[in-house]
Amino acid sequence: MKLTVRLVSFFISLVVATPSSGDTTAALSRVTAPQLVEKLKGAPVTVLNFWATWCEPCKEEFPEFLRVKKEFEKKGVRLLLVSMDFNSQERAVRAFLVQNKVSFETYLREGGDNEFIQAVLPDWSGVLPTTAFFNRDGKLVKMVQAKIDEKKLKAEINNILKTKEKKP
Amino acid sequence: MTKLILALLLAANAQASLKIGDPLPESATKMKNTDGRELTLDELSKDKKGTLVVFSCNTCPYAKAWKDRIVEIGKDAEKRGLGVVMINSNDSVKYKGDDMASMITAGIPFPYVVDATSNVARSFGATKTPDVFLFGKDKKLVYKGAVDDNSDDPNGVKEHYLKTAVAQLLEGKPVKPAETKSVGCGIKFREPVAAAGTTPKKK
Repeated sequence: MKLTVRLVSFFISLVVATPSSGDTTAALSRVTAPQLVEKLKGAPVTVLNFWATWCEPCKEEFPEFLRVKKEFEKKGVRLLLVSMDFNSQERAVRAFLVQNKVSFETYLREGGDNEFIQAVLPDWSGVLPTTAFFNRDGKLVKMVQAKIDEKKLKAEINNILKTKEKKP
Repeated sequence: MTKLILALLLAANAQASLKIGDPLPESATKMKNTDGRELTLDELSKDKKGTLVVFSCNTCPYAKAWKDRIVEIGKDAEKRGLGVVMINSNDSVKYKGDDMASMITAGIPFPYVVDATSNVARSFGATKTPDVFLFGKDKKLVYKGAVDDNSDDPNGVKEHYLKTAVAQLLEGKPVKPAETKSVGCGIKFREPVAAAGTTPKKK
């Protein structure tokens, strides 16, 4: 009897844990500009990507970010994915994250565009997608205001990592 | 070779945005309006108290969210003596929702024209939709950026940037803030071709 209960519980947990496009359990939290600025410091390289569910080039480049994150995780590289979707689109954002099997923490922008952009990345025009690379001090090293590919992503990350190694 | 072409295309689209005080560019370029007329920024700004240029489109969620507010501000600005135009610079061959038929359906009550080479957007340094540029009577840029501070919710707007800029311009006051930021969809630039009468701005 106990074994039957355990087996049933096990199968139920499998069903519950299986991501589907309707799942709303993806790791997503709202982030204000000051909170995001704090997150840009500390890692050898922080890659900040702004995206949205309605932005086709954003969705095209998305899997490449996930691959690069996996490859560079051991080197301490941090990936911050910030959705610029309307807050009313939170459900669609979560569904997209689940669909792409994103299990790490990602963010949904909180606050007005102007204040957010001026505080986080003042030279950003607001175009999506945009990716910015920061060093350990949280200093902007490079910004790409267009779709980016895996090769370029890796090259920018390696450039910052190399710069760090060169320092005495 | 493909990579070189891609790099050249990206570079051609990455024009620096106009700065406050810069003159109205591409003013002689003919652009087809939804009513069939060919219009130029020169004609639209002639003898006006100022000129409002909005790069927008039919397909971007941000452009759609702000559409009614742009129309309201544009109509009011037109009544008060400004030249007003909405420009669609998207490649309608690749993005059907931005073709002339769709532009006509959009029902914009002031000129809504096609930037057939995307060179007008390039010369402004416009990168996204919507992207707003307001020029004074002397055709110098006095405001650029966002419509207001809340694309998502018209009832939640606290700062009416564009409306305020138009009012300040008409009152002869300095426009503050002169520059704001907003998120938008990247303009789907056509491949750069130097068409007659257009000259992509160099950096």
